[in-house]
This record gives sequence, C-alpha cells and structure tokens, in this order.
Amino acid sequence: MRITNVSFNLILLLICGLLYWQTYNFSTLFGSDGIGPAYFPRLIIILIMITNIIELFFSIKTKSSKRLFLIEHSRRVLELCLFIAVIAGFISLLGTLPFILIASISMFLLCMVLKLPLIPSILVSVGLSVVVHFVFIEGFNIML
Amino acid sequence: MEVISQILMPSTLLFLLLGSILGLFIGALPGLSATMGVAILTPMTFWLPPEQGLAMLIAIYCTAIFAGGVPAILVNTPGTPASMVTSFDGFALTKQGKSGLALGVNAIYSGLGGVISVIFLMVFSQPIAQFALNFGAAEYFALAIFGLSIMVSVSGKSIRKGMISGFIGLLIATVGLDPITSTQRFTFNQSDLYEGISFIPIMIGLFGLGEVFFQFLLKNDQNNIKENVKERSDRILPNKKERREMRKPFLFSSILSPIIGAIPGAGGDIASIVTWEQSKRFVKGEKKKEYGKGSLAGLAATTTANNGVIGGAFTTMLTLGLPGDAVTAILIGALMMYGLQPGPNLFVEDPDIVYTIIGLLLLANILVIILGLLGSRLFVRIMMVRKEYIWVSVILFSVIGSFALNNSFFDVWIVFISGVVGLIFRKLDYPLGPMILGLLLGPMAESNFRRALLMGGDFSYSIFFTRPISLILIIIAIVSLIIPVLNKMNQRRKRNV
Repeated sequence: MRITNVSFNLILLLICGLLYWQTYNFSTLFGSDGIGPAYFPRLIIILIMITNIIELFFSIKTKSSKRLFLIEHSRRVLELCLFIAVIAGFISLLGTLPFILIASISMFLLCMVLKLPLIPSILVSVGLSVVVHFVFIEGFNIML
Repeated sequence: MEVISQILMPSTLLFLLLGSILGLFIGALPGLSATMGVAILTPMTFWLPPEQGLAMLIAIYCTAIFAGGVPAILVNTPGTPASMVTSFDGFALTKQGKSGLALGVNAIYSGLGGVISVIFLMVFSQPIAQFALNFGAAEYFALAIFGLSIMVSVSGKSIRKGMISGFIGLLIATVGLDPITSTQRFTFNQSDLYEGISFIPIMIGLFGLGEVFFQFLLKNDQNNIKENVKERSDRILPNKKERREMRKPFLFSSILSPIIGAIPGAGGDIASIVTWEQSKRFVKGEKKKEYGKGSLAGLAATTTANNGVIGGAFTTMLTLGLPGDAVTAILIGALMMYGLQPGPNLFVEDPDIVYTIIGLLLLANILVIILGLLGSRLFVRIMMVRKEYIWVSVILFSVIGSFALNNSFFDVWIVFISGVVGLIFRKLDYPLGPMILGLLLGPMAESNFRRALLMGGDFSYSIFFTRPISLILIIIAIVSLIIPVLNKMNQRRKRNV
C-alpha cells in the first residue's frame, strides 16, 4: 500500500506541475491584475501540492503491512480489468452500431465476467437493452 | 392552493409512488445507496416537468434512507451508512424473533421523523432565506468557504486525504470558461470542455460505476444473506406499552436530527449515532441496559434520526444553496438542470417550487410509513435478488443516463473516467465527500471572491473582514476547520498514551 500511495502522490504532483504551467497560457483581457482567470486555479494547485507533499512525507514515513490487493484476490483484479474493458468497449461502440445489439452483447459479456448463469444472463441482457431502447431512444428521442 | 393541486395531480403522485418503489429496492439491497440511486436516476427525470421529476427523486431519497434499515434489521448488513446504528438493536430484535416488530418500528418512526423534519423545514426556511437575501458577493464567498471548511469533518480517516480530494474537486470546477472574463481554462482547445465538466456525470461515475467496481473487488456474501433471511411471522405494530417506551427517545431524536441535518456534511450516519447515544438518558433501569441488545427505544431513536435529517439538509440546501449531504448535492445539480438556483433568491423568484418540494417531502415520508408497513414481507424477496444483475443494470443506466443529459458521448466518458477514479479513491482511502463539496462550491467561491474584490474597488481583501456577516462566516469556517483537526490530534494522543 505504501508504494501505491507514494506513486499516487508523485503522479498527482506531476499533474499539478503540468497544470500550473498550463495556467500561464490563460489569456487575460485586463492584464495581470492579480485576480485574473489564473489566480484561483493557481491557488488551488498550490494547495494541492502542499497537502500532497505532506501526505507524501507521511506515506513514506508510515510502515504499513496493508496490501492494495490480496494475493488471493489477484484473479478478481484481472476479472475487474476485463469488466472495465468491456464497459470501455461498449462506450466506444455507442453510436456506431444499433444500440440494442451492442447493449445486449456488452451486458451479456459483463454477465459472463460476473460468472452468472447462461440463460438468465441472456434474458437479463436482452431484456434490459430492449427496455432501455424503448424508454430512452423511442420514448425520449435520444439520438443513439 | 395551486401548489397543492399540482402536488396532488395523478401524474405527480404516480412518479412519487414510482420513486418510492425504486427507493425500496435501492435501500433494501446492501451496497446500493440513496446517493447512487439518485445519481443514476436523475438524468431520467429531465424529460419530466420539475414537480414530477423532483417527486421521483425526493421519493427515492426518503424511501431509500428508510429501506436501508431493512437489511440492517434482517441480516445485520446496513443498506445505507445512515442505518449502521439501526443494526445494533434491529438485528438483536430479529434474533429474538421480533423482526416484524423491528421492521414496523423502522417504517413508522422513519416516516414520522421525516414528517417532523419537514415541519422544521417549513418553520425555519423562510426566515433563513429572508436573512440570506441581504448577502452580497463577500458574504456568498464566506458562505462558500464555510461550506468548503466542512470538507475536513467529512474527511473520515485522513484529513490530509480529504483535503486533497476537496482541492481536486475545486480544480475540476475551474475547467471551462472563466466566470468573469470567459477566458478558456484547461480546455486544451476541446469544445466539449468550454462549458466545464458537468457535475451530474461525475456524480454518476463516482457513486454509480465507482461503487460497482469497488464492490466487484469485495467478497460477496450473497449466499449468507439468503441463508440468514427468514420469512417474518410476528406482528408489525408496536402495542401501547411499547409505544410509551419509545415516545421520549422519538421526540428527542425528531428535534435533534433536523438540526444535525442542517449542518452541511453531517448526515443520517452522524445523527443516528448521536441520537442513539444521547437518547439513553430518557430510559431508566433495566431498559437502559437493553440498548444494543434489542431495545425498542434505541431503535426508535436511530430510525427517527435516519429520515429526521432530511428536512434539515433541505433547509440548508434551499435557503443557502449548500449541500446538507451527498444526496442534496446531487439534487442541487438536478435543480440547476431545471434552471433553478437553490439559495435565498429561489424563495423570491420561484416560491412555488419551494412549496412543491416541501409538499413532496411530506407526502414521500407519509408513503414511507404506508409502504414500509405493507411491504415488510416483500423486503425479504428484494434482498434475495442477486447483486450482479443490479450491477449490470446500474452500468447500463449510468451510460445511457449520462448520454441523455446533453446527447453527448463526452459525458459518457466522464462517467467512465469518474468511475475508475472513484474506485482508485476508495481503494486508497480518499473520501469522495470533500470532492463533491469542492465541485459544487468551487464556482460559487471563485466568482463571488472576484466580484467582491472588484466591488471593493481597490482589490483589497479587507472587504471580507469589514462586513460583519462575512467576518462571522469566516470565523465559523476557521473554527470548523480547526475543531476536527484538534479532535484527531486528541484521539491520536489518547491512543498513544
């Protein structure tokens, strides 16, 4: 857990640094009067950096035996990655293929990752997709 | 009269009932929270007129909070954080074979607690709003700072992590066009970012997808639930002697809970533990020893507190525009989507919507009692639904709901990214409450800060300290920042000793 916390703090610091640099690109109509559009974001970024550095210090100092994931859960983590990948795939395909088709297939794949029984999975994924299609796309005229 | 007839229209009542039924499912299923339910279902209400959409959301909120007590009573698994204390006496009563009575007490006292908190809202909202109408930019900035200072007390285990989370929320709120000069900030020339990142998709991602991902990683005790749940066979309604035993704890809890609820960030979880602990003083002798072992008085105090905070949270939300808890934060977002801005001006510009909300809250809490008593057998069935099917539904509704907000694929990706961020934050013990506060109050703080400085003329910060209300609010903010820090230090010192 310590390595994860430290890594998280370092990544956050890096992002803050990049965003702080980005604030110099904000154009201002009134010149740099001290309270222009960059003032507030800069103030927040500085606050994040300060708290983050303090947290980083404590993360390094704290000796924790707690693990981010237990070894016996590693299979579950892989399954979660697959689960998230299916959702990402579903979102990427939205609008390119008929909604009922991609929603049914994606929901069915999610059911399979969750190791649900085959027949109820088919029924749930198709049933849900059809209901959502009729309520949102036919009923509310959503352009999908 | 017009408001009453609008509330009592069949279509509004239908959505109120629909929301109550959905709330029952959301609350009774451990792992689905009222926040998650309201976040996912909010986009679906935007096609409806505001009174019908709000009827559905308010009913989900009130019923889910009450229904969270059902798994707490039946299987010792709180459905929502607010019902954690309900399990102390509720599950003990189930073990004594009195699950029906515990469920009945949960329904009656949750509903009554909610009704009394609505009376609190009716009495106090108008004077608070009247007072807040005198606020200028400096006062609004100080109010936002006070709201933001609450992020320390909702930080949970680590104040540092809570503050980082809150500041990240504030930073996300600065994306888009600057509120004063319309300068592009962190837009990276992406037109989708010009209007900023919408609040609702982030909430759906953090509390919908994020929660599903997190639960996926946890061990599932579904089979245990099935084994533990038994059909109830005893009576539901308490008798005269039992009602007398619960009277004083109920009255105490119903007065204290709305006050706790009105404090931004203090929700049902805090109210129920405070009232459970404090209501012991109204019980004497052997009955006092029963607390935690199946005390009806203890159960009445906590269940009253669960729904008793709602009126308080709505008072803060409607009068000052500050979220009382996570659900009211989403409801602020929902009201904004309807073109309504919560705050004192709402009472002047749209008084009808304020009275509509109050009326809907009252009806929703009455429905809690009716559905709670009628549905006690149904709860056992609801809890046997496999969580995985609910997760799949949550994912589909999150995706389609977020797209439906603005017909935008960008919003769907925001939901997805927020879901992953929500998972990482939960795993690393970063609380999400402060981030919501930052997201919601950031724009209010920034625009009023800059307006106040411009109005002051010489860009002097003294404007915040020379106006009495602003000064008082800043002092309160500093105090509410310091007290939790001191408490933590005190606790650590005691632990070390």
